[in-house]
Amino acid sequence: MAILEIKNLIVSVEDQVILDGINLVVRGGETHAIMGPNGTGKSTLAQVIMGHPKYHIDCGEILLDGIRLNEMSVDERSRAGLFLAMQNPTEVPGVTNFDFVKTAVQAHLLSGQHLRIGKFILALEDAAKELKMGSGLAHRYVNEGFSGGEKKRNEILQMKLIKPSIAFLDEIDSGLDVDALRIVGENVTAMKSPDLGLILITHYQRLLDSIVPDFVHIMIRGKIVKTGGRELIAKIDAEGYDWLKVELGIDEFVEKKKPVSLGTCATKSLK
Amino acid sequence: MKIPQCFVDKNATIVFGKKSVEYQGNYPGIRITNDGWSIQVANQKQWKNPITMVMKGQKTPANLYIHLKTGISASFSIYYLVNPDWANVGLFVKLDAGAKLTLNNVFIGKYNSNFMVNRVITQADTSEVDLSSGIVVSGNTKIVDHYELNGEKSRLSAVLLAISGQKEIFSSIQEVFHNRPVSQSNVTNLLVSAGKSQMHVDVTETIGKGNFQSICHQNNRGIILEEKGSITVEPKLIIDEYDVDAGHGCAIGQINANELYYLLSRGIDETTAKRLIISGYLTPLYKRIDNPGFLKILSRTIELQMKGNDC
Repeated sequence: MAILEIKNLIVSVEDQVILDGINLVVRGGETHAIMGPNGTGKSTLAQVIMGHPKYHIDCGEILLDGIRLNEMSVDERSRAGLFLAMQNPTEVPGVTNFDFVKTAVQAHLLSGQHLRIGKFILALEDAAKELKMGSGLAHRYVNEGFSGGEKKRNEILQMKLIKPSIAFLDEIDSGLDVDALRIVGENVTAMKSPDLGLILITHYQRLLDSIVPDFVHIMIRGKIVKTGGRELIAKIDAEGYDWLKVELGIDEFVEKKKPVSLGTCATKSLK
Repeated sequence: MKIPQCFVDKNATIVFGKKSVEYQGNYPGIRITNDGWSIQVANQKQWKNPITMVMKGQKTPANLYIHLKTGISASFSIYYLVNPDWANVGLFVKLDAGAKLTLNNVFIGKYNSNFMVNRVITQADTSEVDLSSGIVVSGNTKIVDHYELNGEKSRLSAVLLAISGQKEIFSSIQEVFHNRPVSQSNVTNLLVSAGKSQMHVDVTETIGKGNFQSICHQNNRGIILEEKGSITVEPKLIIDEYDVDAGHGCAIGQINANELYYLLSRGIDETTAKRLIISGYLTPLYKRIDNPGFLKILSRTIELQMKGNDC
């Protein structure tokens, strides 16, 4: 059973602290939901864990099964068992989905193991069928010309084939219609097992109706300020985050920069 | 360079050897000239498309003249198996009114001295050319293209893909002349600089006075894989007519960081990820090659070129 431990994680970009001491433990078999207002660092947390080169960790540790990930490259983290279903999956022109997913699956094989191509094709076809993605998927270029919903389903398809031990799903519900959300929800729920820890980043209850979380965390200004169970979801859905800000004594966002004069308009004086 | 097995014993393959045509199938109108070979296509039924031509001869200059008569449609793949002694090759294509040509032109191999390619395409009324070129050779290369759109409603689409490795110098001069109204051209250059190679492309498209409603566009993209490589592009439009649609663009840079991150996040190591992204970049060329055997040779050569080895 995998275990992801995030210990006192502090991350800043251009002198601005964007993750301010995150502590979180996710075990295989658990489903965590991270919610919070826009711009509070939820997606940044997922990107930092995945090792995006834009972010530098000032302090803290990320451990997967006791192994420190901080110094690992992005691909090493993936091969160690992490997966990030991205909010805006990137288009890779000219590279077919088949070549891309096959190379990714191959990369996760242990040394000495070889990909059995026939078996892989069947698995890809099955996964596409389960996600109702149509038959031409394998020969389409990665995410190019995909609708928003197709892109998100393609992320889940990769997750099904790569079989990570810890997966972040970053706003996997955005851009999905009701039917597509149900399909994604069913597929992710079917993957739940003691071998997979899930972290769902979302704004909406509707995703968490499909993929039921065990823990709900609320992030505000780069911190996890409250952790609870499913009861938190309904409260946020009904009342937003204002009650929490009041409860925790968090001020509204204050513009710290001083206003700068852009100069004066031309004036005309009458003499 | 020997003829790869994939070209041998094919009925639709014409191999131009040192002083003779070695395999011809049953195509009339091929002549040996003082400076190369000449092909005249006058009868559609006698030329079944697509036709593969392999240039392996050591004639210098090794020129190929192709003339498509009125209304003829042809699809040629011409592979130049460049050998170390070659210096100059020429391809001169003439299309009469209404003729249509799909031409894949691939140069692959290694040579000792500077290698120069001259190509001239002349088009009459309503003729169409769809040209796709791939240049994957070891050594300094200069390619000079001259396109004359001499017919009304003539149309040209030209895609050039060049990969340079090691310390090579690649230069390409492309000139497109819109000499008649309602003519169209679309020029695309895809460049990959591996190692310390220097690549330079100069594209000039000219629409003269009176050639109204002509359309000319050019798009140039370059990827520099290593710090010491360089790509420069000079896209130019010379327009002397108001009623036209013209535009040019150029983007040169390293491999797209977002694409790379996305592939890495799936566990693909950096070298493989870069290779995959570049292969995607080369897809316009790969898609045009209908010979799977040659496609394997080409992709292996490209891989060697990107690693800094000789082709």
